[in-house]
Amino acid sequence: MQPGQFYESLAIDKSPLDALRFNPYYLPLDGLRQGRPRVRGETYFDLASNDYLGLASDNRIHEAMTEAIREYGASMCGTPIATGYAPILAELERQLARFTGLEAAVVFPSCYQANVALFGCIATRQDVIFVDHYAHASLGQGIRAAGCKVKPFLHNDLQHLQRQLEAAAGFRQIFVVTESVFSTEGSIAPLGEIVELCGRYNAIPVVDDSHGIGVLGKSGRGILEEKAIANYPGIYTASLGKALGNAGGVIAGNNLLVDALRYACPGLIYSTALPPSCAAGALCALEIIRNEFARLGPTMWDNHRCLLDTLRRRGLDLRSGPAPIAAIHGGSAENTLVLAREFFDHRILATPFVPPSVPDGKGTLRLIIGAKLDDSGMKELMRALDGLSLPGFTPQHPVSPADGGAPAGKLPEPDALSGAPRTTRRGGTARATYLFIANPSARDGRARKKLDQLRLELGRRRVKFDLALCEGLEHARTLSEEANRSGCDVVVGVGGDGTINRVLNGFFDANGQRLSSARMGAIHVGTSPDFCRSYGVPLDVPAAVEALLAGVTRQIRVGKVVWETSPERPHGSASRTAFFGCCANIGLGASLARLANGGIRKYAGDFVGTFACLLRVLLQYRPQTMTLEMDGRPQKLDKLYNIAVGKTHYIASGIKVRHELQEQDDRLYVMCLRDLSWSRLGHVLWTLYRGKPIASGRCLSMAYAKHIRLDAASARPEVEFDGDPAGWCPCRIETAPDSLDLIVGQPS
Amino acid sequence: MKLEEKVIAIIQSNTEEKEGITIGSDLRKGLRLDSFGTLMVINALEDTFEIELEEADFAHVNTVGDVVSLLRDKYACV
Repeated sequence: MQPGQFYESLAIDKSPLDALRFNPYYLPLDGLRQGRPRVRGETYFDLASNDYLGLASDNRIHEAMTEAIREYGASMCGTPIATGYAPILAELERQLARFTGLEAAVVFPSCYQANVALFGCIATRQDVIFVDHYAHASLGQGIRAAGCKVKPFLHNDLQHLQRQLEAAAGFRQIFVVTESVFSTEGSIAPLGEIVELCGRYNAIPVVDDSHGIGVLGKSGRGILEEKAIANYPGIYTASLGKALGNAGGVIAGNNLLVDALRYACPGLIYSTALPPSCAAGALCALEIIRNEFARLGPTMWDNHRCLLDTLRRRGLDLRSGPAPIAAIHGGSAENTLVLAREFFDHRILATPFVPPSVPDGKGTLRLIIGAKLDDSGMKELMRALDGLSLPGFTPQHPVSPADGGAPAGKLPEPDALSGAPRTTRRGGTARATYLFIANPSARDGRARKKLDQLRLELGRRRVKFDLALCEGLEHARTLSEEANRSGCDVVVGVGGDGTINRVLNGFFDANGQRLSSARMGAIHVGTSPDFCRSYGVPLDVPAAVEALLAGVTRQIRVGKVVWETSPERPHGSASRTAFFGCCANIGLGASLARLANGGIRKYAGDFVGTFACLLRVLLQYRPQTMTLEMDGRPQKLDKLYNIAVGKTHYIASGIKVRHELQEQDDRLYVMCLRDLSWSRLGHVLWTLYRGKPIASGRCLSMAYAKHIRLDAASARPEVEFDGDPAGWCPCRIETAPDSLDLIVGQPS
Repeated sequence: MKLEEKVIAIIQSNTEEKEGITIGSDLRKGLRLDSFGTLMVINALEDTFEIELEEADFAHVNTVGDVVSLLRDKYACV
């Protein structure tokens, strides 16, 4: 390989960061002012660092460190085994052993270095190490480098660990490695039980207490105090760069272990020792924790609970464990970064964890509040959190501006777009309040990926929005109605035809009057795209978002249908009203919709699946005699298979209806399919799938009317609209009195 | 029990994704196996079938079906 090619092979793909124009990594912080970091001159809330107790900005520690520099210089410029072992380092080791309750301790320049170095020193190829699946990278790297057998166990799963310990045979030594606090999600290891299991199987426990020391336990001494583990028989490691507000790492245990590390651990004896100033700072931190944890600990926990309450109130998807770490589920890497940027834009530093630090789809935004902020600081932080526009992590609850949701910029008055008198373009400098109502189950759950894409597109464009995940189609209607009533500017249906129809229904009362002046948008992420196709909304998510933000709006006339909810006679016992954007079908079309929605399209796709269902329904369907009344003129039609009443060109899964209706026409087309034979079927399918003009004949006929009534003499034909079966005849269909303001992809 | 069922059962008891594992499930994108997750599955397969797998064997394995093929073709597991 040429050197140039080699260096090319190292290139890191930063395109997601570039696309977002936001890079939270290696962010230059100008410094701390009363515990608040500054970035490019602006003061931020620090919820990203591991400074749990706020000791990094404690003046007493600064003074201790300064004093040590005066006494020892900036560095001892030597390894601890040679000239780097200052008395203050020895004192720190003694105090750490005392603090943790272990026999001895040895200090490393960092805990990462300690963890990597440890296993190479103590484990051989004849050993086995059981390690928690979520253990820190430093433990993983050290364990793998040791060359022994590595057996991960499921995170905090004692049964899984025990099964593996039972099966372990023929190894010289068994180690069980875990962390006390898993810092990505804040879970805490069941260390007491792990130590007990280790005792039963002659294994040595190893725990990394980096996020536990100075945090857990009634006096902040860490996991061993928290779990009341006396005479810990294992190996303990921890960072001095988190709650202790300094730098460095420690390995503690019995004297034999620590002595072995002092003389045989290359990662220690060939590395420049921790500077004396850091040792002095850590010593001072231990002293402060001993004396003041009774105050600092409760402050940290109170702040943490307050933070969690606020994040929950904002509807965020929290996955936090019992440690004082708030973990927000971000999903994909892109989503997690978008979320991090939203916090950053509100002057809050948080830590995004994305693959490969976490598994695919498990991106997490971590926030550690600690004890850094006083009451006024906390109030200021809560106000900043209330101002967040949260990109799509608010299941079930649309957040209205009054509830602290997206800031509502009022829309400017619409300005007419020349040449399209009923089309308006809105937007401009003011921002609309967007609520996206999404159906995560659309397309049998495959819509979730497109939802991630939607979040990313919105995030890239810095759109302020809320997203509500509906639990079902009717829930989508309820959410839409609530959004209309709460003054939302734009309500967007995100799903297939079914979801979009229910969102559309949330715009109207039972009489067909609009509930508000909100506009509707549609993003197709589901199976059937007929609504979006009919109104020119792009099917591609980025293009649909672009169109939505462009705000070109058309007033469309929707159909109103009243039908029976029970197939049992007598008529009129219970009727319901709803609205449709595309088409209603009575007869065969409803049976077809029921069958096609049964799942076949998941495997065969929309077009092929629906076509296969159509052939099957045709074989089974028995034509009926029905009374069709159009604008008060009844007629009896025999051998009737289906009546389609609609507004649009696309009505279902590739079927197209050529009609003469204009956009503001208050009539509907009425297409009848009757007296079908196999010889005529080919022509019918050719006409409908190719969208050919319908020349009225015995088999296929087309008419137009404002008011349509349908009933059957004997059987009760089924009714469906916009792709979902709803009920039974008799039914009445007409155009709703109010138009719907729909944001479309093109002016006309 | 067929080999396919055995493999699915092994993966189920060694991953956090317990539901909906099929022969077509993608190990990394679907079941979200990272390096330790993959190692857990490899260890369990080794213990069950009494074979020694290399992580390199898994470099071109994407789905549960690929695991079955690997075990059947290279290690003659049944």
